[in-house]
Amino acid sequence: MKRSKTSMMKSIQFLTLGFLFAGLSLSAMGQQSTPVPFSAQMAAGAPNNPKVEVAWNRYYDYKAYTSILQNLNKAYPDLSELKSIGKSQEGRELWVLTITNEKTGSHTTKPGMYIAANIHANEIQATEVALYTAWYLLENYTRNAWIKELVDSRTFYIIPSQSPDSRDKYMYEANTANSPRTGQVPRDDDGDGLINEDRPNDLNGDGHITMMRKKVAKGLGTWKVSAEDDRIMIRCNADEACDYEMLGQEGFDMDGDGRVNEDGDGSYDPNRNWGWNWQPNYIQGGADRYPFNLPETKAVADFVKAHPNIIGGQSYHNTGGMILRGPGAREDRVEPSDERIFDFIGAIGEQQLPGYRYLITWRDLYTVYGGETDWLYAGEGIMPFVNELWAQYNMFRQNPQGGGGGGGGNTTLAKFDRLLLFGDAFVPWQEVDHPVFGKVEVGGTKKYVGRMPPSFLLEEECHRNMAFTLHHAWHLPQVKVHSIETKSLGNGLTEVVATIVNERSVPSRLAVDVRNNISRPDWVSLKGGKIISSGVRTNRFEATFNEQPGSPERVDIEAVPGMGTVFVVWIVQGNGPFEVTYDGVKSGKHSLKK
Amino acid sequence: MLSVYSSVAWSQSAYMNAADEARQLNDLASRYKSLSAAFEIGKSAGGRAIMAIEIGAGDRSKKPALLVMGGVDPEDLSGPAASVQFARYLLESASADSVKAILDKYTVYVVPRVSPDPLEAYFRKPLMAMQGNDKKDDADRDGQMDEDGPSDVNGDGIVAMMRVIDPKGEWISHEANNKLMRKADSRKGEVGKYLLMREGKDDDGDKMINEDAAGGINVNSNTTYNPVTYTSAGGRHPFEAVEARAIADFIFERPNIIATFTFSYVDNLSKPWRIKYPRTPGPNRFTADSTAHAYLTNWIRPLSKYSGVDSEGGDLPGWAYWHAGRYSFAAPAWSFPADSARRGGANAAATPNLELQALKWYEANDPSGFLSWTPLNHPDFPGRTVELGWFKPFALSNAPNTALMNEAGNNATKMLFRLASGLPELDVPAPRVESLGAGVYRVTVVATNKGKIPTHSEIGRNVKGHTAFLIRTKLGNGQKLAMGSPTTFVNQPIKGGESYSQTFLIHGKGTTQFEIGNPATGMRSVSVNLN
Repeated sequence: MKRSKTSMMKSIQFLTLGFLFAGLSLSAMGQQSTPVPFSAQMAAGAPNNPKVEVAWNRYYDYKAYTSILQNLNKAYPDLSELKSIGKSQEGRELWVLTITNEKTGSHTTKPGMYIAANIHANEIQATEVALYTAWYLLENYTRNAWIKELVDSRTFYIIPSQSPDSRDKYMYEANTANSPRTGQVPRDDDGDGLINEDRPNDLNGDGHITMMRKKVAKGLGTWKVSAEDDRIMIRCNADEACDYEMLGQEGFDMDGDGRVNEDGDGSYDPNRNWGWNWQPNYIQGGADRYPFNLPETKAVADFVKAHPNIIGGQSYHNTGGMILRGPGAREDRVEPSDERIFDFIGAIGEQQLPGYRYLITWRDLYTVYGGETDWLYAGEGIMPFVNELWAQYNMFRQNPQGGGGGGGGNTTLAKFDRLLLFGDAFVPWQEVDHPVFGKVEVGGTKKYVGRMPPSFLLEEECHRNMAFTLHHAWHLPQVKVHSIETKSLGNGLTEVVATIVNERSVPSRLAVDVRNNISRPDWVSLKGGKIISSGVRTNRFEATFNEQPGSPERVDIEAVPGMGTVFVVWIVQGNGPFEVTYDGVKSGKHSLKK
Repeated sequence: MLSVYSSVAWSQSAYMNAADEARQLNDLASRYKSLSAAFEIGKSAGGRAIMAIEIGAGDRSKKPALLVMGGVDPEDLSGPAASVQFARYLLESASADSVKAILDKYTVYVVPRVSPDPLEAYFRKPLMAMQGNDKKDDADRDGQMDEDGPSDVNGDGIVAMMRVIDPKGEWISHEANNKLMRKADSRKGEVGKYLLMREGKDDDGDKMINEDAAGGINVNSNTTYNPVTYTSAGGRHPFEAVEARAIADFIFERPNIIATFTFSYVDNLSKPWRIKYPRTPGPNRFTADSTAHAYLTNWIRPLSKYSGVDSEGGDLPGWAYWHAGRYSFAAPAWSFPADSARRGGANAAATPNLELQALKWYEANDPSGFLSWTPLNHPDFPGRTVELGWFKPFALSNAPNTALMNEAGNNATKMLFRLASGLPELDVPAPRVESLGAGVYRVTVVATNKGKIPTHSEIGRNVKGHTAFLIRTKLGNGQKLAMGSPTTFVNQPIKGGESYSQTFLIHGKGTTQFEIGNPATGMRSVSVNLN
């Protein structure tokens, strides 16, 4: 190997400085709030003079996204609150930006929309989508009536990164587009008693872990160079004599055990570590020790449990252009009436997100045990989607064609690179000395290609995915006491009937919640007069009702269905005035007087 | 002085509270400093210390270890008592040859009281059993925590059971002894007579009784093994209980623990597990574990005098094997005498009813253990026939007096001592060398397990937290391996009495060193001179 360790270190340091500069300049800009050049004409969508200027064509490290959050919070103190819900393994803050108009009610009294991103650290644009959502909601509050209504009536809990340690590792260390997926809790992957002792090595010192190939005599290889683009390697057909071997990712045997790259960062998958249908490692790879044994999943789960008003959920991942919903495993279930709402919202997403398909995790992708969103649904009664960001479709607005993949790329990506990125996607094959394999060539796609959009498509990706989540938030329950009707029953008795209406599509409690008593029932209470009895009228046109045996002033109802009504009846001594209050854990509070 | 004091305290009662037990363990550890250490592994939901004592000579973290757990069930006082008795025996008899041999080779960890909170109820008035730890919850989802639990309605200092004559009642008196109750069998035309519930009243005026009791998570139903969902005692999700997390972390941080014994209602000695995971691809994936487990069970079963039942899910003994990868054994520290039918399972119909056995014992030996049914004027059932009665809380599941508890402790000690004596013992004699000429040597390394418990479990290799059994080759200057890798991973467990051998082809003269083992056997080192 020609390159010494020192020269590798130097190149890593150089890279580090470059990224730090981006972070620093951004935070400096935010703190000074220097006037930005005024743009005379806004484009539809984002305001032309935001209080916090953010460029949506690049990716931000922990320090940078922290300052974006702080700047947003400083610019909009009445609409946002920035809190840390705990620390990551390496001590970074796990930020939650809460967005709602506190003047219309405290955040806990409104239906909550949980938006979490970047649980897989390498899936980095997830963070930008979450940040963009926060930015867009705050910057448009005063100029867009629809956004204002959302922010007034819902609470957004935005967690831009659930894996900040490895997010920074992705950026500052040599990696592929696929690494690190894990967090930084030290783990011995290969069981040899040593921790992270044989990670991939950046042989050519370019900050990317690409592939190794070696030219061999014709007939001895199983790969060949693509005729369409010579940067692409293609696996040979069964009847072809080929002249290249692929040797895996850049690296050598650092611990002398005869294996290459067998023990890098972590090895667990934070998205298999949640408290629903968790299975051990031999059934579900990456599960780690037990649910929520990792500091990051524990902090987020504790946060969710402490905010039972959350009813909508969104987790951003990459890649593949998918809007996924559970269950993660075939033997698990989603209640049929919840399924209908998932389908309704998923169908909206397919229109908003060209190239994305609405799918069911276990059926259309793969089986996931112990996933975040299954726990949100079955454990906490929340309706969550997982968006797998970046559809290859978006390269040419058609599904990609062509083979390849030996270097991480395919021929469509190579064409996209030639025509639109001018070579920025690939590290050209380059000869290096390898301690075991001798002379090899190193090359392939860069880590920021393949799983995430290029600069000019990032803002679009952020916006379209946010739009999906905002529509989801819009359809969260909005329950009102629509009207109160009174009727004299004689002898000084009055029948009071309150009509409770849900003006949106998601029920006030999901079916999974009602079936399993996850949250408490909704409460409808009456004030005024001496209450003799109460219950729920079973049908608008019939005078029958199911009596509630105890506590007649407060009637417990299972849920108010999406776009549905519930009639609550009291028999009261006296004739008013009356006040009816609806109070749902996940659907807010509303009162009406008569 | 301190030791005398604590010995006196011990003799006064069969059972200790958490604070006294912690004092005992600290005292024990301070008397046997070179052989033990007592420490806290975490705190319960109620803020009580969860104590551990580790016992053994030398570097205890580097030797094969057995973990003994007690106090995992919310009403089990006998398990902690038996656990402490075992720990005391090992230390107080440490100079005896048989004990010294164990302490020299192995480590024993004892966590006598994994979930201390519910056991404190035994020392409180009124006497009342709890379902779990002190975590508060809103069991009936009315927005209030723990607002309507069982209570001492008649003021006798005991929360017993309550039976109410009611047309909706499903219970009738037991024909074998009319003090006991059983469900009416409608298929035989029987009609229920009584509602049966714990003593209590409607404290919050919602027309329900005891619908939201104090007492949170039962640690022994809060694991991921066949998890219990949507119950108050099972927790909101597996490993929600801080005690469950504490014991799991304790185990994962100690890869030298190869076997665990849990005092629990779960009994896998009477009816050994079939080691076959329902979702594992291939039915025979863990066959080596299966035979090892059956063999070890047969070996210690004759010393286990008490019997329990199958897992009801979420339990620690099941978890310790299936999800933590350690050989796991479990049985109650004490139970009322059961006849042989219970053990063999051949005649399930003849299985004696635990309550009948218990009542027989209390009627003959200690009538205060069963409260005879007595009428009560109950505020929520005006004018109705309500009676209070049943076993005193804790009376069904614990040794009813000090003498029986001591006997149970002695039995437990014998059984656990046998289990500890079977921990793996790795023997690596000098390797055999054959010269093949031209400076090439064939070196054969043989590792024999002289213990009874295998060097590792198959399942252990597949869960997180185990370090592999491996042979690491350290070549001398100028030597190289003619073939193969310097690190050999041994996948199949080496069972008791079995050997593993591995051949290395080494090119060059000099001294080659081999390190062999895993944390559960300790590492052995041998070297060979090639010349």
